[in-house]
Amino acid sequence: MTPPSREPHPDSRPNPRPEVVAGAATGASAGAGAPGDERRPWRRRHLLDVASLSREEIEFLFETARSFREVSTRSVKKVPALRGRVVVNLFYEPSTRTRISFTLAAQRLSADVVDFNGETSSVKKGETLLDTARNIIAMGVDTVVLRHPAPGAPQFLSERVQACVINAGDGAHAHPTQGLLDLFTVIDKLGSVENKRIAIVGDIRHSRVARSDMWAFLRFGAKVVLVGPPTLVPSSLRDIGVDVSYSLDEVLPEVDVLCLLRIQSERQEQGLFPSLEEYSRLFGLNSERMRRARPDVLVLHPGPINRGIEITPEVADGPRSAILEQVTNGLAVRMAALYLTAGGDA
Amino acid sequence: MSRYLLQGGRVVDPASGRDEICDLRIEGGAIAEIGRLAPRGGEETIAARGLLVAPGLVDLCVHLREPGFEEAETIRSGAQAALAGGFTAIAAMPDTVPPIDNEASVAYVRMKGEEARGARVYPAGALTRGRAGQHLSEMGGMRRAGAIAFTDEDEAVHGADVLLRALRYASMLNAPILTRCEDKGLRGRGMVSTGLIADLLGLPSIGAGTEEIMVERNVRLAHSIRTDLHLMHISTAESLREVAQAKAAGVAVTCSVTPHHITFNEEKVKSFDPVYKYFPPLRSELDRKALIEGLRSGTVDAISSAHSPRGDAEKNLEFFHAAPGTGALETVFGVLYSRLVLTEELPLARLLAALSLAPARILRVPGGRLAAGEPADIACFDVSTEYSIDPAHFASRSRVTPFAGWQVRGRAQHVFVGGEPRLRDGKLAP
Repeated sequence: MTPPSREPHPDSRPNPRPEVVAGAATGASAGAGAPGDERRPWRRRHLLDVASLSREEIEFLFETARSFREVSTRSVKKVPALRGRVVVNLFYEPSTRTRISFTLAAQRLSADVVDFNGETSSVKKGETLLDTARNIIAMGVDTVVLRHPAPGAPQFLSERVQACVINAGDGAHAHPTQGLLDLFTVIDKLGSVENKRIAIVGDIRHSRVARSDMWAFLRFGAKVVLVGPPTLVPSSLRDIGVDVSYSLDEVLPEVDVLCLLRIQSERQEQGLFPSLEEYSRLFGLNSERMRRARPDVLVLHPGPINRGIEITPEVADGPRSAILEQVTNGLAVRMAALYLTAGGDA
Repeated sequence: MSRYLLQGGRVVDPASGRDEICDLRIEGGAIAEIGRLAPRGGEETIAARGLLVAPGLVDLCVHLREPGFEEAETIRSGAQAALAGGFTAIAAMPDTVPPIDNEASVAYVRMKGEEARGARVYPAGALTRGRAGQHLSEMGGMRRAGAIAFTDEDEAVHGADVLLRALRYASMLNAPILTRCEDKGLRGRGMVSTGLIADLLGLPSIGAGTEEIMVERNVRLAHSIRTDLHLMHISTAESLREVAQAKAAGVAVTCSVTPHHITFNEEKVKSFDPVYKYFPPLRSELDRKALIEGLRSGTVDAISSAHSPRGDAEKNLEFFHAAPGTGALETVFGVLYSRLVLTEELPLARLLAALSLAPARILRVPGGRLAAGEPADIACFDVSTEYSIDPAHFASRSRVTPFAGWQVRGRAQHVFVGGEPRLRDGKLAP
């Protein structure tokens, strides 16, 4: 029942293994979870979404990320784990922080990194994603980090090319490294998310971050509530075990974590809410709302921030904000994702 | 014209209810007699033991892509693909480039269709000029040139006033109007069915109401001027309830469904595989079951392959950017016979009626019957041997199908068009 003209599934091929210099990669010793170990929980060559990851896989990735985070504190912030491998950032949408984060992550693993900007390159000449990717991969690329406006584009590519594919955001579908780094950050701050109440606030409908966050938090036993106006929060998502609320003020006093999403003015132009001012009044996080929240509430935002719209500056820069830690952790999580999909072990 | 005797096949005629092992004689392009027949001199005997002898299939919605997209299909390759699938007549949709919206282009399709020596190709003319949904096309001239129906096909007629005028005007031409049901505003950029799956995938969606609102409107328009109307590609349970109510109230409305909407539900799009992208989108399991129930009850009159051949360049793309639709002529009977008849979900006579008698009636063309005096448009299917669907062997230029690798029964062995054996032993006549 496979569709026509498809290459064999890449997962059916043997794992290409990066150069692993004993002890140099992370400092962790080999043992359970060593390459070739059947019990090793990470066997994927692609990172396409969070929904399909098991708790064990995520824990293993976090373990790896923690050891990589230590690398970033050294004076020489580099390990030879992916030396000789080539990573391409194939970005079809504007992005600063995700691209820089992936670039630094790859560089700290000693991989060579190339940027491909789909907005200015041969895409304008009408080349398809598949053709572009095949051409780039023909130059010896091992890992493609793909950001693309079409939901499912990374999966489509992963089933048709040899390289490892990491999804850096596909339309409104998924942004797995963001979902993972958000979970990583919350666990880091709170110790665990088990039974913690986590609100994801904003434009859930168009948010790949929300779709990755909710799976990550659910997988680790959190209680997730999606908050926003009904035009931006699909109520069908209740079927996967999340709550839906249309009132931030109602959920505010009981949540342990607030994940705010960037609101795009484009949605207002589509008529999905009346004005940014009204959005801010109903769903924006400000000092007054912070006073009604739990004193130890943790505030997350994937960035870039619309200061004064979904979050006011004093909250974004305030003591409960973990926004910059998200960015720091993001680097470690992406190093782990690049390393593990390439076949490395923790 | 040669004479043939089909011997010992299971002859099933949905119009008369005949279902027996017997013989069928073809003479002068027509069916001469059916029964226990002794061979005569001067006629060729064809052993049909183990074969299903059925009316040639009739398809009321096929895209042949010529002119404009010949890399995906031509009139010739499409007519031959139809033959290979057991079809003896197909209605060619006008959504070509340029569209079939005038006498000359109708004549072109007819001529190319005759040259193809495949299934009979009946051109359907555009309902509005350029399929733009504004001005009525020259339906009278096209009718004279051989157009058998009028439709804007994948452009559902948006303006109620336009459709009303078209229905009135066409009522003097003895040619049916076929329309899809889709509210363009509600559809927006949608591409999968509204619900949890769309919300998890982050794909823009098309609600059931997008179709149901237009079914209701179109039924009312047809009723208001007491004319008949055919609704294509119905996909939801609620649409069928609407159609059933209209039929009960005496409205001359008919409807058809596609093989993919009968076979798959929306779960398939979770794979992001572009082969499952269709308009209307795949719906819920409840909807899928309702389509089959509609076929049993007769609320659904016909099945149309909705054959939409696609080239690699427009289909082998991310789901989001891929063109909708799939090739289907060569897989319809095998898939539906195996999935519906062998599983006893649908009686064989109902399947055959929906694939031959009903579409022939809707299009007001000959065919769909096995009786003395009828044109010898006949398909013989091998329903005892299982085979694997292999797109590499398609007569169609398009290799796009969701059924590649399926093990099914019901491959067309012999197909007669007007008494002429154009497919013999599963092979196109040279």
